[in-house]
Amino acid sequence: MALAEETVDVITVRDLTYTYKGQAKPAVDGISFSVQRGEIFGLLGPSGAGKSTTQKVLTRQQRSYSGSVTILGKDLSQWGQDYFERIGVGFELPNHYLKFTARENLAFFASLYARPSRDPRDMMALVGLEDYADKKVETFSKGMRMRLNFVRAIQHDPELIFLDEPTAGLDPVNAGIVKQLIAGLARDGKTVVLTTHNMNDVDQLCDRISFMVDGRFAALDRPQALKAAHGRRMVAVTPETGPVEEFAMDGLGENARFLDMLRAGRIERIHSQEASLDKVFTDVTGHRLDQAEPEAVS
Amino acid sequence: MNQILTVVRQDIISITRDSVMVNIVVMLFVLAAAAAILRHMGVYPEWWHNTQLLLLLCYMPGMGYLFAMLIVDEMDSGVNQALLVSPASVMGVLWARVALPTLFVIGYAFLFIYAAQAIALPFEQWLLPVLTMSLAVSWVTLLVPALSRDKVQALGLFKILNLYVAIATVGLFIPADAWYRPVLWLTPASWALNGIEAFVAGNVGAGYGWSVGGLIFFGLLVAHAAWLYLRRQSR
Repeated sequence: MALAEETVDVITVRDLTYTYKGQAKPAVDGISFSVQRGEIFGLLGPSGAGKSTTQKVLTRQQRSYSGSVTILGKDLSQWGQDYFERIGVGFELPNHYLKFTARENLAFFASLYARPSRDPRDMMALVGLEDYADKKVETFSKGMRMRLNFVRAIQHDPELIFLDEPTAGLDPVNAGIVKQLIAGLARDGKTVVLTTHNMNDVDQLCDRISFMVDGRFAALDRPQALKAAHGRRMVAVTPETGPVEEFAMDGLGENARFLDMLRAGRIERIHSQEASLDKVFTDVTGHRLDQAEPEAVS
Repeated sequence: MNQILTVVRQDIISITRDSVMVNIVVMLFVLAAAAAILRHMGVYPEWWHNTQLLLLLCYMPGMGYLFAMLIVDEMDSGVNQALLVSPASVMGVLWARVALPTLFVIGYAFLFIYAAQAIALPFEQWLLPVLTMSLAVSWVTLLVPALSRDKVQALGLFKILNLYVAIATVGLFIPADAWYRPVLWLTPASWALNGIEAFVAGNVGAGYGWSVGGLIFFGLLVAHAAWLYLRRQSR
């Protein structure tokens, strides 16, 4: 059974610790987790929690870590440049050659890979940029540059994709398109590690999430499980007139008072009382997601 | 290898799309042409020697600046980070970016030397001093992005590094026995000029001595700059 689990784990991290030079406190402090093929795994936490450092270790931008990291069946330290053929990285901030067109940017990065990449125009069409393919990136808005970031990360068809705030700076329509594409990648068997502050993205996309604070995981589970564990199995019914009434979910179908209210047909709202991920995060970590950790601020 | 050639091709296109960078390259050829024309017209013969050495030395850091600014621009725009997670080898790209401008200035220097013919020395006596001076390109290419956070800092730092190299030319205009001349030995560029002057004076042993010393001195500066650059990349 353990062997079967190993074969489907794309990422296995054991006791990962990373300390920046000159810092006494580790930025990542002994975290362990695994990510399976086709899974969307979310790393959540306030600024300075260690999410980006974790991602930098996994993408080999930081190499002097301690602990064990196995990715795509091989110890991370054993990988050479061929590792980058198999992963894609989408950064939090847009990073392109501004004096080059969108197509030239994609074509340049595609030419760095031995494996074939998809046609730049097809990639841009995925995110609604096909009409801007021959415009210089310096004329793009932040949202357009972020969409270009996203397609650059996936154009060489990587098996493992790291995305940092992929919907930052996008309007709701384009954020929705990008989220659909991410969900589609997972359906196609790609593995996605998503680093974000955005609870909405996490709730809609992630199979499992970890809440990271002070370099450690405060919780790691499925979003639904976390919400259920920290919510109440109750339904709140708000009638058109009169006070809000709450009913236990268990046995709701036999609850006479609840059924009477339904039959009366004078109900304004019915809400289940499961916790939001924001509330779960605050309960578990004692932090709000929009707060930076003190170390990050200083 | 293909990735490195791709990056080099991208760098050359970047230079051709930046009017300031194009002007720097064009000026190299304009100055060389002007010096060669004056030499062959036979005017101002007393200036040929110093003009040759001034132009040879002073354009070298500028070529390093071109490539340094490409790297600083990549760091500033974040493209550098994207390259770090691509299959292109960091060391390969670094070598290409140092080798390309350095080889360019060596070729340019010999083109200039043989076009102007202002100082008559055999090729083997030019070689070591020219190699030493060309290391100014490698040094600037590595040190500017290693220490600069943005283009403004890069420009400021370049002016200091350029001065450090170009100040060697003061030696062309001060008495040979001036008590303060050894201060100029603090820049390896002056060792290269001293080597050329020794060869011109017929003192071949001193010429090689100064040239080899300058090459080692500048080589150490380049190695230090490479270390600083790689340390910054690994942060």
